[in-house]
Amino acid sequence: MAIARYAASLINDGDTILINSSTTAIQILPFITNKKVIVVTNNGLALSMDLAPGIELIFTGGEVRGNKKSMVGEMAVNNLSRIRASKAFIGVSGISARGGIFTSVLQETAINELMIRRSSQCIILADGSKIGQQNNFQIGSARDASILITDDSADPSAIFQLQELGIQVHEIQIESSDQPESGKLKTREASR
Amino acid sequence: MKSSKSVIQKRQDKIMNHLAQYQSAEVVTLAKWLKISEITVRRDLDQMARKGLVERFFGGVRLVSHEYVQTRAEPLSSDLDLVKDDIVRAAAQMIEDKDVVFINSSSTAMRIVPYLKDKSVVIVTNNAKLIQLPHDRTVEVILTGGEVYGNKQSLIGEFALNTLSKIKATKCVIGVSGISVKGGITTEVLPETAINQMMLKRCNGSKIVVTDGSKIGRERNFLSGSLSDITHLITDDSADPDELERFRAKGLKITLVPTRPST
Repeated sequence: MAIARYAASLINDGDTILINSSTTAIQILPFITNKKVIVVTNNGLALSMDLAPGIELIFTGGEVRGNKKSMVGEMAVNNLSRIRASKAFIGVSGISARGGIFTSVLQETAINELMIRRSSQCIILADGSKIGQQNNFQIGSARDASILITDDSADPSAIFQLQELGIQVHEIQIESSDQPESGKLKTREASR
Repeated sequence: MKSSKSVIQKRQDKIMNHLAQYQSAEVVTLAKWLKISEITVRRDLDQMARKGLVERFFGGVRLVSHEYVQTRAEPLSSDLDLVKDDIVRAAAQMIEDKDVVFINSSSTAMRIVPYLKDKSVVIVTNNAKLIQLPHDRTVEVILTGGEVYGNKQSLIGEFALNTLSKIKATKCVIGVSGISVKGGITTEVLPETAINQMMLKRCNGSKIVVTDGSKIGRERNFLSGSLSDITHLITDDSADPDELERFRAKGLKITLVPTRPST
């Protein structure tokens, strides 16, 4: 939640953003308030979320898969390829400087790859346990990421390697998660 | 005068159904709509609030959570819901293995999904709510994509049309807000008319309108197609028989299901 909340603070009024089928990434939606934002997603979980009036929600369409209700396949790719977004928020199952960026569902690979390609800035969401991991299916190289949002349980040496590549890393302090506002402010200042 | 339990229950179910659609309501409005006093409305709402179904605020009431609609769908079924189920069950019998079926954003049409058991079919729909319905493993669901429109959560616009333009269906099941000889097939949401038209155009086989009797002979705001665009109509006995006769004369095949006694 803290990761999603911080991610939402990076969104500007007027942004068009892409959100992938990750359960972490879609949690951003309720934190987008008082902004006009176009959200394009293949994540069916968006349906059951409370959205602020400024949000225009667009589904990629496609074959509906699994409990996550993610949309995949030709139709999703086709619609997505017609969009240019300012930011993509991609929840992943692993990211490492050497191995690249990974997600866990094969059918979603093409969509995730395309989301990275169709946006100016790629923001990766991954809790600490996923940093330095190479799990399942590669969707890009680490250099594709502009920003990584994770928590302070992440392996420091893996983080350092990612920073070496020029990725801005924001580590959310898990300890201060019961005081979300102060935690958010700290990381924001640290990033400047 | 004390009302019997079932009358109260039905009334509260009505309120819940209303809330499921609009999320909140005012006491004054509910009283007018249900033709009961505001005091009675408040008593109902208080009772429902104690059950944790709704939340009171000054002068009104709102749903506690959107999940309610899904988890409690069963006990809320009204007579009309049962009729609609009969209608779509008849439609499901027309669907065969290997069919690719267009289903539009109508709440009646999407009820067909649970009745497609054991059939290996592909559903293509612009009804985002449909993906929350349980369905058989043999049923594959494809969403058209597009802008998510209002509480109805229908998908509209360029993306939806783009997806549909790449698919040819063998069956098309659509619900309507009105259907009449004079006015054709009509709906209340303008951007959905383009989707409905495209679905009818891109279907090679039976094009089936499913709708309860109250919509027969009625004309709504926006035109989705003419009678000649469809092949079948499934409705219930409450439909105006004269209008049905005129439909038949136009070559439309009609299936009627019995209307349940309403109280």
